[in-house]
Amino acid sequence: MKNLRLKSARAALDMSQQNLADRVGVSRQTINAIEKGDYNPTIRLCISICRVLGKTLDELFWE
Amino acid sequence: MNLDNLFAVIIGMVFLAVFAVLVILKNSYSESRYDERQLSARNNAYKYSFFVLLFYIILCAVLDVCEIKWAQTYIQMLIGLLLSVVVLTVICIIKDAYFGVSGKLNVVYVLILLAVAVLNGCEFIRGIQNGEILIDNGELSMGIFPALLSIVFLAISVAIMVKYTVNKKHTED
Repeated sequence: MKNLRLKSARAALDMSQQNLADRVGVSRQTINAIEKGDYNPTIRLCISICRVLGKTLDELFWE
Repeated sequence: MNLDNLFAVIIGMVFLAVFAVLVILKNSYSESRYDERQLSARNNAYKYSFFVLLFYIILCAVLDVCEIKWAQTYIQMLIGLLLSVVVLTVICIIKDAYFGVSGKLNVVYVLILLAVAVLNGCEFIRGIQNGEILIDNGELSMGIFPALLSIVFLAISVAIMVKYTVNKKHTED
C-alpha cells in the first residue's frame, strides 16, 4: 500500500526524495520504495524519517 | 593448458586483482555502506546465488553419474562460479543494492568491466583464429574460458547501464 502521508509530508517541506534520503542516511531508492509501499522500513528508520519531517510515527506510519 | 591459455588466465587474474583493489580502496575511503533495504536485498541475492550454485552442482553431479561429459572439470567449476557471481551481482544491481547508499554510477567500474569483456572477447576470437579447440572429445575445453568471462562481464555492465537508465527515467516521484 502506498504511503501517501509520507509523500505529502515530504512535499510539504519542499524536500526531494534525495534530500530526505540524505538526511536519514539511506538511498533515494529506499525512500521511493517506502513511499510506493514496496518496502516496510524498520522502526529505527521510521523514527529517523519522522524526526526529519517533524511528524509522529502515528501520523506517518500508523494505518 | 597451453601457454596461450595460461597467459589469458594470468591477464584475467591481474584484472580481477586490480578491480578488487580498486573496490577495496573505494570502500575504505568513501561512503559506500548500504542501508537496511539494500542489506536485505543483498541478503536475498546471496541466498539466490547460493541456491543457483547448489542446483548447478547437483545438476553437474547427476550428469557425471549418468556419464554425460559436457565440459572439462575446471570448466564446470568455472561456470558454476561465474553463474553464482552473475546471479548475485545482477540481483544486487536490479534491487539498487550494488553501489551503496549514494547509488551513484561509477563510470570507472563500468569502463573496467567493459574493457575486461572486450579483451576477453578479443582473446576468444584470436583463439578461434589460431585454431583453439573449443570442444575436445565432446567436452567444452579451456578455449571457451575467455568467452565465458566476456559474457559475464558484459552481462554485469549491461545490467548496470540498463538499471542506471531506468533509474534516471524515474529519478523523482
